[in-house]
Amino acid sequence: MNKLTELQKNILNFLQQDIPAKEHPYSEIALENNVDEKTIVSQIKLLKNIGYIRRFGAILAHHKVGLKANCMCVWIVPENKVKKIADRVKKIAQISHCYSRKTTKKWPYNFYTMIHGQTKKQCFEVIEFLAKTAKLNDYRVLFTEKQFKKTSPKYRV
Amino acid sequence: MSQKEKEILKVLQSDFPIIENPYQVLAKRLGISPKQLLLKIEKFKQNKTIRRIGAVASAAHLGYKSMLIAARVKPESVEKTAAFINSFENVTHNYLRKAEYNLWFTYSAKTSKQINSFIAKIKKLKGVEEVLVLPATQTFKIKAEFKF
Repeated sequence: MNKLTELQKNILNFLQQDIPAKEHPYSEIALENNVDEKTIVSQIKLLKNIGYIRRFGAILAHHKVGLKANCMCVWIVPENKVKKIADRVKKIAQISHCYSRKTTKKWPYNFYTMIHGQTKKQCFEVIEFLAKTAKLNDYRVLFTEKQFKKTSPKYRV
Repeated sequence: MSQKEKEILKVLQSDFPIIENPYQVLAKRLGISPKQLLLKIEKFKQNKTIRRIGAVASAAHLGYKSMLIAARVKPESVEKTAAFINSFENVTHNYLRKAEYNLWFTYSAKTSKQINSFIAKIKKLKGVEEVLVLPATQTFKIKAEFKF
């Protein structure tokens, strides 16, 4: 975690913003760091290979590309079934995020899935499919009523 | 949105090359000029279809922990509470959902101390009746690419 070079740190901070829309987007960061663009590119590739960069490219607003229905569906999944059901979820394209989380007395749901569809109906189809195939009856569907904030996290390096 | 525009978005999302001149190469693949591609990108950013182009860093690699928090907020206090929560740079998501816990948000920081101090502030707000703190125990899937 602390093994990053100054250059790598600068690159990570730069890439977590919006890179310039121009033919050579890395020319400025290269200049600022006294290296050539080739070096920047090879460092980006390295950072991706060692896992510091999870994804690289355009980050789209899902509601703008037709995915207008978005919900969080939370489930009660017995501990011994969690892994198996998570493997199933990984294959479902409409589910973008899946976690298991701590429960509380008032909130007994331990398994979280974020589902995106063009319509609410599409979301329900995914939920019903999962409920049926995984034999789960205890779940709650929480549609997004309003998005107050959605930004890419900027982790300062 | 035209078929061509869809194609452009898909390529930018899923096949962005890590090279010195990514837009030249992508434009060639799409059969348009680099200038046309850059203009399209400008347009997509203006109408907020593209939030940004860049990297999604791994929180875990950089030593960040993320916390999901849910709050039961009186309806008349929702807007004010949401605005206060949004004012923290470390808050990345904040949604109104239909449930007894109506506000759902995430906060990420390097230390538990920072996270706890944020939670304490939320608990003290007028109109906030209850707060659930829901740390992840396992992450199975994080995929920010959308099929469309």
